[in-house]
Amino acid sequence: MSRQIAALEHLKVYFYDQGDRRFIRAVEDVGLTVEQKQVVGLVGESGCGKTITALSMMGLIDGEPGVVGGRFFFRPKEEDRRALIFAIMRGNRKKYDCRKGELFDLFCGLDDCVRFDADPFTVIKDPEKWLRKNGRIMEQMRGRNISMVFQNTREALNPFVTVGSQLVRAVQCLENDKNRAALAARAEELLLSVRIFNPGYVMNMYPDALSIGMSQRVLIAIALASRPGLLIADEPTTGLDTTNKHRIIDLLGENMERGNMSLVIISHNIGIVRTIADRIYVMYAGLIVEHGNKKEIVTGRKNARHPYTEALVSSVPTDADIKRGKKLKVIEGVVPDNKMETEGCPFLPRCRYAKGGIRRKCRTRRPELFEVTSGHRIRCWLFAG
Amino acid sequence: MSRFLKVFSRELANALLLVIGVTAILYLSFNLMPGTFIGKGGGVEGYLNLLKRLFSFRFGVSPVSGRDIKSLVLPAFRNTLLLTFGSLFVSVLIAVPIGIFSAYRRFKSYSWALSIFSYIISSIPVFFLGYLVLYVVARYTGFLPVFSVSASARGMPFLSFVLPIVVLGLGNDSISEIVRLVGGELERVMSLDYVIAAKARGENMLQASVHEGIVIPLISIVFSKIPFIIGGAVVVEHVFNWPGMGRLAFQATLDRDLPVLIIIAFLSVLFVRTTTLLKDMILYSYRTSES
Repeated sequence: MSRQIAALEHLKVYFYDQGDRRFIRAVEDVGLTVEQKQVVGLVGESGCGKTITALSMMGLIDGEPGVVGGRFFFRPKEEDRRALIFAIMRGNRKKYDCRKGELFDLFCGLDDCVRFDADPFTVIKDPEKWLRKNGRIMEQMRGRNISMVFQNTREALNPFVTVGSQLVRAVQCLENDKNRAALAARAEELLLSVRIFNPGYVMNMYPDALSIGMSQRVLIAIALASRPGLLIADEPTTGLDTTNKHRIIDLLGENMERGNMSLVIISHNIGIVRTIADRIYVMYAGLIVEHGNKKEIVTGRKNARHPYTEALVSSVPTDADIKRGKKLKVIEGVVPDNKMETEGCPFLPRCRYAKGGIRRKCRTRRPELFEVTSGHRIRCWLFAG
Repeated sequence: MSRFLKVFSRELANALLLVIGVTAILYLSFNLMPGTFIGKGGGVEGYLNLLKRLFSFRFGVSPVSGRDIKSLVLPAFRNTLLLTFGSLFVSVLIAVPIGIFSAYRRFKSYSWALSIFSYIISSIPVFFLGYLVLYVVARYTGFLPVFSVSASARGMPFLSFVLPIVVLGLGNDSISEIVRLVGGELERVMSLDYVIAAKARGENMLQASVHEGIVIPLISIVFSKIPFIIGGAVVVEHVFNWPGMGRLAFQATLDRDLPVLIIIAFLSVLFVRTTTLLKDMILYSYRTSES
């Protein structure tokens, strides 16, 4: 078994809705493990909490109350370990139990800031304290250890600065070299590595002059500049045509191999994710509904899959379907409103299998993640016991 | 670059048109006043004559004081420029850190104290602040000369600049405006995608948002404040006996020295419109850098 680089456990992210005066459960009880040099795919419909999960791993959520529970274990690079331990320990009177082997809890100190009240359900959080604490820890981690490629490509580049100087700035995060020529050379090298073949020309351009595909590549180059241990790519293929989609995915895979890097790839398109991911997590309404190896998720036996995953996979047409001119399959119904306090399974209104005796159970009790085979878990009563 | 020149020449033509229009209005209104100046009562021909004299900077001699107008007005103009830009610099120096601080520490409770301070400072009338500072400095400390550029010019002339510049810098109402604008803009920009993305890469958020969050709002507010500061300078010049254009204009009005007055008005228009042109061009070059 290879070494783990990151493990997210029981992540909870709630927001407060001022209008309705109630809490929105954006993410509930999400767990995720990433091993070294592994590609993990996170799949689900829009609004199921994929991006919120990624942002909370980066420590970038500052809405209230935001992250309210969970632990995020991460293995930093050797040279950053001391600084991280220092940041975790700083300002603490209590001794935290925030180590798990080589992994450190980046959400350390969260429990001190959050208090739950059962009736009526309220979350009380001290956001100032949490942001200070978490900011101090994440400052050590962002860039050199965890980095992220953002969803909104056009708006993720600074419009007032040339591509070249943004790249150079990112390179500077890694090596504090004052030699401008060396930095520029490294930046050009990075652009070449994401297959931009006229780097000298592109470096002097402003981001508005780039096409979406180009800016996506530039963003990937910037994220790779600091050689992160874990890269989170949030919808890296939005707005691209199919050939470019596959090029970007190949590029990520290639650079991952080269840079000894792990990758979390977030997408709503299971067809894209399955070409690269080793493990796939399927999310629905803020919950992980199934996770397992790619094979088990995508091409597993029909009777060993969560109904949602099955619908998701079958909504991607195969070549034979296209030749025969079959209609595209869609999943009936819509994603449930997160404000709703669902007692049972959130997928129940759209589920094809919830019939007969099992339906009562589905309606009243939320299923656990049941283990089907080793490493393959499904949150569905069909697979209970 | 050619597009820059095109826009620049267009803006320059605009500015010239405005200056000519303002001088025409000046000519008409000055014609109504008793007294005499170049081209008075000459109709269109007299106006053209005046324009020729103004744009060639041959101002002639004041009929009231009998002195050369150029040697009277230009030093005063220079002094006012010094006061204006010096006080703006002081305002920016005080206001920008407060703005950055209040944007950065959204959750900290002590940034509001600084904002309140900026409002209080801006709400004190400048003549009151001027006399207060004069009184305190002259009476209790005396380590700064409080009076007159010419009297202290032999020793250290720049020391006598300090008080008027600082008083006008504090007292013109731009501090609270800069704080509010820079703070608000910076806070907005700091939640934009590209700044969050820079933060996610471990870069400095302030460095990423400095262009849109600080430089652009600052340029637009500082340049648009210049006309008001020239107005406020009149009061400070009186309080501190500063030989600037405001005092000269006041004296000229009392003496009904129309030739001096019209030239002061002309220079003010020229100066204000030039700074506006400068602002437009700076902002334009910023905007074109995007596309």
